[in-house]
Amino acid sequence: MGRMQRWIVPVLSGASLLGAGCYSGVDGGLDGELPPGAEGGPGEEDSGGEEDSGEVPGGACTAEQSGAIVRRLTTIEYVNTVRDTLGVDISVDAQAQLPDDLRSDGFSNQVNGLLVTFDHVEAYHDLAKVIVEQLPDLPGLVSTYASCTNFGGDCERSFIEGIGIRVWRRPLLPDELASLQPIFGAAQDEGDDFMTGAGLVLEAMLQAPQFVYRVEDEVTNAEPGQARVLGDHEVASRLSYLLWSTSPDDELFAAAQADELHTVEQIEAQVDRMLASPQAKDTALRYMEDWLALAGLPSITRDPELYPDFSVELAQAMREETLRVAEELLWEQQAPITAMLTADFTWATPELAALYGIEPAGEGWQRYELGGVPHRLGFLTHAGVQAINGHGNRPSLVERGLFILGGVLCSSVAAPPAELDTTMSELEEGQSPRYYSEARLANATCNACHGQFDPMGWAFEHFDGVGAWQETDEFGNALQQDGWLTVPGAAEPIPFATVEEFAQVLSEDDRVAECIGVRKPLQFAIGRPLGSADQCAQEEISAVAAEGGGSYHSLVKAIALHPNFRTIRTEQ
Amino acid sequence: MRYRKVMSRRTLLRGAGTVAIGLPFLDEMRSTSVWAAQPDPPARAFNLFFGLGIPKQLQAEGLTGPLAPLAAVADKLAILRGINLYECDGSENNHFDGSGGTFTGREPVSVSQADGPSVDQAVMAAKYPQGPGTLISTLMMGSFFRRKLDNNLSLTRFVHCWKEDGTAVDVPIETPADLFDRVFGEVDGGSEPGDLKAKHYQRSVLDSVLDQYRHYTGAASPLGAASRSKISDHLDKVRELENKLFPEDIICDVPVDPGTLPLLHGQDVDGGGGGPVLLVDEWVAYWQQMAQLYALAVQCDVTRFGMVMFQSAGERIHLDGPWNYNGEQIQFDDMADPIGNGGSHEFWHNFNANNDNTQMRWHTHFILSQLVYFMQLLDDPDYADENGQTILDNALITIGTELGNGNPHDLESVFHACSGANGRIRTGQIYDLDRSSTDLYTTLLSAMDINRTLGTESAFTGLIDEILV
Repeated sequence: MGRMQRWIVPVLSGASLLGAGCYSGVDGGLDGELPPGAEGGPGEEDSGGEEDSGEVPGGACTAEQSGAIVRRLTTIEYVNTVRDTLGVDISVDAQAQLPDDLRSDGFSNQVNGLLVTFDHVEAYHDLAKVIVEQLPDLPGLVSTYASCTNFGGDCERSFIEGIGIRVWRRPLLPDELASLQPIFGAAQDEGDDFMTGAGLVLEAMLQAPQFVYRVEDEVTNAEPGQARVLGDHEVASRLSYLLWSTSPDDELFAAAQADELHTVEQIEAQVDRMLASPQAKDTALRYMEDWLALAGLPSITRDPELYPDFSVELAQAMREETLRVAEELLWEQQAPITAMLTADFTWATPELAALYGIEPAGEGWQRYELGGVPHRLGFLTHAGVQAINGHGNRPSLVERGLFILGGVLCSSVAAPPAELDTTMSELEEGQSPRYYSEARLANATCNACHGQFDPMGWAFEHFDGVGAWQETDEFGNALQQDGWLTVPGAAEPIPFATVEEFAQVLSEDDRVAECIGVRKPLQFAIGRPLGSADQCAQEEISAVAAEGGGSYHSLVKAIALHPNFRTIRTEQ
Repeated sequence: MRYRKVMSRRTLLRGAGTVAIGLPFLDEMRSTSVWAAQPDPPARAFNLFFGLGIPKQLQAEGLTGPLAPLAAVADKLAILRGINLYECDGSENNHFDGSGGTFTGREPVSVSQADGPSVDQAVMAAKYPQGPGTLISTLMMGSFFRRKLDNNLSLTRFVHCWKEDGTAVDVPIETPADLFDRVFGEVDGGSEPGDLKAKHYQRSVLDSVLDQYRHYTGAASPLGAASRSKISDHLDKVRELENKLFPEDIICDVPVDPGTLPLLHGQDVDGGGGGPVLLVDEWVAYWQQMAQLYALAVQCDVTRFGMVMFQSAGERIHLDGPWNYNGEQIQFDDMADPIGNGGSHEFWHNFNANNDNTQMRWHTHFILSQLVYFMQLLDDPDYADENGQTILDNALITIGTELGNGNPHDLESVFHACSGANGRIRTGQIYDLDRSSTDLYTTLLSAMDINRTLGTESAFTGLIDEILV
């Protein structure tokens, strides 16, 4: 990918100028760390008033920034970080012991959902011990950082400082060193060796906030309320979690240590390198999975009498289908995310192919062109997407419509008008979902809300509770698929006759493109819902990403190169 | 997991079980002079929440029909009709605005964040600026199934303890086994009992970990207020871990581990979103175990703050089984009901003051019965405080729900009640008010000698003097 358009903005690496950025700092923002004065941190790197002659993208934003807030590592980030820092695969134990990350505000990595329960703390405690026990070569690890293994003094200090910069993702402070060194003393007192002490130090590091959270300095080195330019280790951390969902690798660490994450060129080179890695693809697919709530598929339940062929295995296949399509389309072809709406191919197991009415082309996963397959076009017609949004044995047009409203149009339904009676008039039993939906729209009170999303849900009436196509429902009612797209703020609804037409209409809508192509991935990237203060930066990122083709790659790159990515709004 | 061997708290309580049991409660005894002479019980505050609300037409029937269960504790409660949550009504569906506004008096920021502290947390912050010093700062428990919106967990549906910045304190514990573990389970940390070296190492590691968390919550922290609050929550739980690894002040009988009951709970139960079918007897047994454990945690002073919830906002369940409705043996069979098969929420959505609303009355009766069961546990004189009053008498217990009339999902006359807070609130009465939730919550804090407006400034019209002693 070529160099993106950028705006030339002179930037002081010090405090105030980057107050111009609009979303950085974000609550929870883009991660990081660094207590004040850390070696290599902002105190050293940024406070000297050194002028950064490099050019930075974006820069026109002047809106208020949201305040910063620390974010706990998600379970996957925790597992990845342990693996990439210490070479231990803790995935099985971590999945078993850490509570699920709460899915909140549309994703499972959002700051409001990343609570810490007692179970987390107990798990961090237990897992730290397991990680140390599973270290492949503790003596080797120690020798990497310490040339000696005597208690007291330099040997302890060398190890703590050396391993600390990796585990805590930045150089340690003197107080932190002083807090960890007594652990060696405990080992010595008990008559154990240096390795025992080193293991215990690691246990402590793995439970500390510097490891468990993505911490950045939120208060110093800037005027109150102003944005501060991040230090290189903070930038390294932001980049690694944005692109790889893990801690910085050797090369990023080396760049941070060498003060080589200051300029756009330096950051861009790292982004390009990292985007070429399979870890970046994993993060991209994790975004897709999280956005579409696909991880919930294996736990949905359906009445076996109504859906005898539905199984956990089939649900898993549904999940994988969408991810395989995303991998091919978004990652390999680097198509815009909106291309997922009209993807004319899919991947399926024989069981999933049967659900689609496709003659299986062979064992295992096979790629199928959808040209001759009726009613299937794009990810909205994937069985998994229909099943997860169907909410039950008798799928809900309301829930499916709400998904389009919130998940594809980035809008939400207003509260129903207060003090109005929503009692429906007598309705006939045994009618189609569309019948009841139209009755809601005929009621002015109900229509106030349901009119915003029901007609979009109509597109999916033919899909049953597991996403299979049916011509009639359980009562024998003929089903329909026509409806209209109600874009919030648009003057006129856009009619569609079929679900394929609906997908096409969505794919051509700018609001949809902005929602699923920019807003959703940006929210996932920064770990919190976007607010009005983010509008400016979002527009800049969107414009830059569009010039890069609107692909996931171009979007992530635009995020990483935006000046707000390198700043944090400090506390008043 | 091992369990602690402990001594009975009863032996530590002067006069408990004698004075408190021997004297009937007389409201007129609650003069300031009488109670001022008694040792002050610790400040405690709990939020009791139930989903779906009670329409004002049913509230107006008094403690009969669906509200009859409250009669058992009516002398310990101020029942408050006409508390409006208009100031909480924002852009979201009122299941979220009402639920997130109850106990906070403010429109939630989002479906996952309130806009200020809940009553219990405001009391805790004022009374214990350094934390309450109990094993668990805030204990949250609930039996519920509805938790999602569009496949997203909506914290305001089921969280009712909010920090100053409006973020959730924790998530409710949902099973007796988990509650038992949290309250009474001991963490062994992987070491064998008597392994002093292992304990030494645990201590050493934990000291360093605590140092780090203290640094990030202390004056020299590089974090802003919201982040410090998050790390402070974490620190609380590290301290809880410390207390479990190195137990000291254990003052309570440990109940029998309830083990695993057959009723499923948690996210997977409502995988389809349509709401589970629940056998009445099974759920009641399940709830009662949880209520007992939670009450014991309070009685043992393991915690002084928290929430107890029976059914979340917008709950959607199907009851099945017999129930005693004020002496009448009735049979829940929601799945067979054309309205109820859509989940219990639909009974509320179809409320019509001109109809019988029979099933909704049954459900309301069922819900309130469970909350009353819990309150009666806190009224156990065997666990009376040193002033001779029960915890139900002494604590500030605020009961709230999410909606007024479930049909339009409005926020008018959202049912509330509260306990006496050690003689500060005039109990044993039903009050007909037309006041904001902000007025109420501010009044409750005022009763606790806390001078702050809790809720929305513009909605504050003054204290509700008539409920104050």
